[in-house]
Amino acid sequence: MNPSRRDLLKFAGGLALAMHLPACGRSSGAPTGPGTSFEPNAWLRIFSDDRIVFVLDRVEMGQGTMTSHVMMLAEELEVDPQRMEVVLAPVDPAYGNPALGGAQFTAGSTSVEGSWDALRNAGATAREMLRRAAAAQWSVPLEECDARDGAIRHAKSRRTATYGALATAAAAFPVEAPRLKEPGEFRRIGTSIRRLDAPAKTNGSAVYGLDVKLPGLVAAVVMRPPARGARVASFDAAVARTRPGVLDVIPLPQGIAIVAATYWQARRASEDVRIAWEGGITGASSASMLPHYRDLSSRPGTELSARGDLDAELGRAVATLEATYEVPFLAHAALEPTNATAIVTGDRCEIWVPTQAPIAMQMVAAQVLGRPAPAIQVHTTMIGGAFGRRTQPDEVMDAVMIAQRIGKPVKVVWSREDEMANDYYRPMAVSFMRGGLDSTGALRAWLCRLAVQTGPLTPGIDTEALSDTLYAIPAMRIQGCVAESIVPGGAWRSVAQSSNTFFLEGFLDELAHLGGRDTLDFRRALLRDSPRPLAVLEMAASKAGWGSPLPAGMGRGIAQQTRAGSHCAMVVEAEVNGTDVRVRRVVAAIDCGLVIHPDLVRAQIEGSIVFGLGAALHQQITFQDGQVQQSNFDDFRLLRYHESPPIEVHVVENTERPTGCGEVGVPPVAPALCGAIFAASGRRIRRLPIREAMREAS
Amino acid sequence: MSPRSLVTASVIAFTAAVGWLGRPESAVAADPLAEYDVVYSVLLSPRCRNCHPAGNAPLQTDEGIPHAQNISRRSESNGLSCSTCHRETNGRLPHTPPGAPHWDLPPIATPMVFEGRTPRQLCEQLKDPVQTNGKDLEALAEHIAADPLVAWGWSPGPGRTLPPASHERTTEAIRAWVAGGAPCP
Repeated sequence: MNPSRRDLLKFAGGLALAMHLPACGRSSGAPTGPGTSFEPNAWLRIFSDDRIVFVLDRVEMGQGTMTSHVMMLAEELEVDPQRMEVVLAPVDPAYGNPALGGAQFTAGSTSVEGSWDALRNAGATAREMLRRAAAAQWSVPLEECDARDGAIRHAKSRRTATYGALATAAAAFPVEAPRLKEPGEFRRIGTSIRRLDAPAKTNGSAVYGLDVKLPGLVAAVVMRPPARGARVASFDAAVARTRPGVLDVIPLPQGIAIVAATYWQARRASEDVRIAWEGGITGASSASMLPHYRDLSSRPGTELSARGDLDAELGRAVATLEATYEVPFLAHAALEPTNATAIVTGDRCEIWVPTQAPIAMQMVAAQVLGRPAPAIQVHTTMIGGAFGRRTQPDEVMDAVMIAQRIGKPVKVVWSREDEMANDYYRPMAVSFMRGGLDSTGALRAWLCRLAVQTGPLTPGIDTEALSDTLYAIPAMRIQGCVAESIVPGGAWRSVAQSSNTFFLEGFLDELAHLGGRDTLDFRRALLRDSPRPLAVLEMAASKAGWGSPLPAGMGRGIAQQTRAGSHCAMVVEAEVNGTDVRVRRVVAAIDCGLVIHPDLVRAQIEGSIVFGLGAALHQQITFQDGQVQQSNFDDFRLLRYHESPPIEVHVVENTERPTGCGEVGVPPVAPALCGAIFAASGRRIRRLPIREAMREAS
Repeated sequence: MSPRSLVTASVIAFTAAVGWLGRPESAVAADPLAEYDVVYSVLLSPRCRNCHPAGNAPLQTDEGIPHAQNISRRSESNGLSCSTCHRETNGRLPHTPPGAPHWDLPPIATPMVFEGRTPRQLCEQLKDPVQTNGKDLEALAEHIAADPLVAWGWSPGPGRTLPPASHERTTEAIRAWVAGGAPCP
């Protein structure tokens, strides 16, 4: 009933991936309008009144797809991106993400890379069809027809026809595999145009899930158990039913729903519902789980990855070091509260939801209602932050179950407290590591034992950033020590790399120190076979003035990471005063191949740094008897203005294939900051969050 | 000791005991410095200190972190008054804004900083009419006793800790300190 992310990916991977025009007459859910339209492919509609509509297949969750993806298509179509209207794609195989096995997911920093070929091809195909239509209409050679700014021009006869005027005719001129531009020919790609979503987001017209309005819409809250997985043994809603605005109180498998005219009425009435719960994950307590993880990581586990002869290299090492690193569970804590809106009538189910995975929402709703998936229409809205949480379907299950019961459109809204206690958490993990150095202080051997509960350990996913490290370590071994999976785990921004990079980069810092080597030099040597990440590391270090003196009490740390084909390195400068840590400056460098929109790249890395610093300094989710002990931003703190350092982001320019940058900036933040704390104070942080570790160590 | 003097002594002792038992605690020749300690411990507690910060931003939680919603005297001077969110009463649910009449920071001219003040520094500040915006010690004691925003400190809404002494005891302590000449430690 609750398919995992991986199950969904597997399912979606089996879908046929259609990079073509949806079959004639099939409603793809894409917009229609006055006048005839030209639909050369799934992403583009050109209307005879010159409206040009782009169907965005990767959701806009602040990361900028609404701008970057329009640019990719518009570059080849030869249209000003600002002229294009953007609608979010319906669920359709045509909109599958090739970088995620064809699943219609926006995740894993894959949006640009996954759409790069398809969207440019879509734009170029349409442009060539329009050129051919013009050449035929004017009876002139094709090569004399130029596409520019939404029109075809024939210079010799001074004739011009807009794309709208040619739309009807163009459909008769199919084109296969048009030539795509070389990077030197780009006119728009590589420039920081105004974000297409900026006006709507600043004037309030943008519709997020929370903004959805429908005639007769009612509101619902769902009271969930204090301990995850518990069931309602009995409940008394007699008082709640008498409260203002209350329409119904409905028992659901996941809790008790209160339906009212407005959200606040439902929330207020929920205080009067008395519920006795039974069962749930009452065995989950951080106080016992953490020692258990430490114990697991202290003993050999399942071999997940190996290179070279570890035992021989460790035997020859002139210096060895052992350390255990730990990271807590984390919540996603996106700013837009979790919500979903649904209408379920006789044969119709429509859902409005800020989701990263419209296809998963469709599947889940189909399962809940026992209907075929195509009968479920999913409208993806703007998203106020996602970070992996919005691949999960819980709020959609709430909405369709309630909508089916009450026969009215309903919007389910979770409170911040609901969401903190019912998330799919970035898993807690403990890593025991052993390293061996030779007489020059170079790293020869590295053992890493990972205790983590994500269900069965999956080499390549749970060991990202460890088993696939680009560091040239002659001998290494990654072992997994599977902990029983009690707490629901999920994908958090940068997934397992958020933990694993902290383990490896932190440990490297210690090994460099043990061998008397500068931590940058130490990494430089290890990246000798990987020119792109090495260049990024050098760029971050030189821009930050690595090695130049700092005032007393301050220190610098450095860390780097590769994710989804992109490389990011950063230097953090921090000041330590007793147990107080202040981040004074962060300098980052990023190589994500050819840059579509430099300012979006900088914004992503800046955002990753702020996101990563908040997590590293403040955040943890802890359990007691199955209950989450944090509930809101007072005890699960985000980084605020008063703590935010100056940030510099340097973007490498090259013409490599463009790759994603939504996550790669997160993993290096915590280890670079911990390196800075060590340089400033001699204190080694091996456990997050930092502020708690600093207080405990004092 | 003669029987008579014994009786006299007993009567005195009895009278004293009865008298002592029948009088309020504070009137027992309270040590003004000890009373000041009570006042200081309350004023430095999070419920009072958070609205008397060293900087321009109010503080939140027992830890005293700067206002998470980035509110400061600057936002107020730009037209966003504290009462926009902080109404006359507390929000009923956890994590909703607390409220009391005239919710505000002390004015910038007389910021009445509690955060980080030593007992002696705070004592001298309380006694300096320039810093208290003209309030003398009696007015200050009255402010502690009767101001609804001060009283909020003892009914701060769900999830907030209370100052170390009750409102009554704090009022008593500041009055006793003032009556004892308001000495500074």
